[in-house]
Amino acid sequence: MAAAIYSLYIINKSGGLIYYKDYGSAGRMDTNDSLRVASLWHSMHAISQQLSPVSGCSGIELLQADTFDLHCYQSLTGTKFFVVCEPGTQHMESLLKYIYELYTDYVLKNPFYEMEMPIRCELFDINLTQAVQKDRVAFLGR
Amino acid sequence: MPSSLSSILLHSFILPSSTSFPSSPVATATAALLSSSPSFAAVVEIELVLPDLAFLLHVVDSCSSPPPSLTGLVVLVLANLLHHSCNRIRLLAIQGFGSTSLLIKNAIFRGNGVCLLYREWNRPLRTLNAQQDHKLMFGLLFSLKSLTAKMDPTSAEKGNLGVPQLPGQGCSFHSFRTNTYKLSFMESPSGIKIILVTHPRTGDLRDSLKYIYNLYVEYVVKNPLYTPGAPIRCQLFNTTLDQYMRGIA
Repeated sequence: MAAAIYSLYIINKSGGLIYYKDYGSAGRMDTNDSLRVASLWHSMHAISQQLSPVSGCSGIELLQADTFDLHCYQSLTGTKFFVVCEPGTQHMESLLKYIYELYTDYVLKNPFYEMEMPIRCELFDINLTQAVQKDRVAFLGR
Repeated sequence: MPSSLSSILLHSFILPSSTSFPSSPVATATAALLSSSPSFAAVVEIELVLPDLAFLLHVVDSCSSPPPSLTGLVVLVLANLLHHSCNRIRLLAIQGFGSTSLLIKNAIFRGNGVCLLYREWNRPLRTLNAQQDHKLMFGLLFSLKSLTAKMDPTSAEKGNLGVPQLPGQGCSFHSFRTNTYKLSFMESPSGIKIILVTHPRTGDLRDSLKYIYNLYVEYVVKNPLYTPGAPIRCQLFNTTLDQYMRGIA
């Protein structure tokens, strides 16, 4: 069972896209579309909290569609990490938490990085690719 | 009417709603009516907020001569639309300035946003009022469908974001889960949307949704006294639905 990650998005707390990486899907989007999609997701996330029948909702964590799953992780600061993957992919939550750690290490601790701006940190990219590949290999090797 | 209108007028008309709002012919008629006025130098933004769709007409026209009774014209336009049923018409802003291009933007959110049936079986009360809830839900689902169709990683040819999708068109989602609830969704080819809000640990409810759709077909659609699009008042449907829900709960 090959588990593939199609793409990764990181949104800042105001809903702007700060990072988008596509790992080989046929539906790769250009910059404008990815920005729109990210803002739309930010709003949907907020509205879903309003619709909750019980108090204490923190937004959509998993969206299941016909051809993909979307896992979303929101940090305590409001930064959202979400990943589009094949339906039924396991362990995406732990991957997202790991990506959050990479974000804090390689982006936030980078003195030249401005908050809420697009991420342009090489080390972050390198480690992120390793993390995603490792995931893929781990699943394929099973 | 002064030639430089920079005041912002806000009028609110509350009208009784009757039938459902018609589709684009009325909208285009409105646009044509407004643009056919010979001396129309204004930015008019009319937002029609209806129970089942929001209609935003934005007309910018260019003309140097001052507009005739602009308010009168707009009210005439609205009067044309009124007999089709409007819940609330809000005239947002009237301003006059001379631009150089004629631009008509027309965005219609159409669809069966009318809530036909709402049942709850076990709901800890924490909500906005029911009407707002339904509107919010419809808006959320509509946008999520648009989002999933656009984000589909397996298809390269996709329309633009926000284009209303036909029931079978494009990738659609079937459920989403938050930490407090799980929402399962199914859309029939006729556009009827069935939504179930459950506990987050619930499994895949697609079969249940299909069963409920079958119940709908049997007890509602085949009921000769039921008009399609109207709220569902079939007692038999309600009882069978209750039985089924208690059975799977």
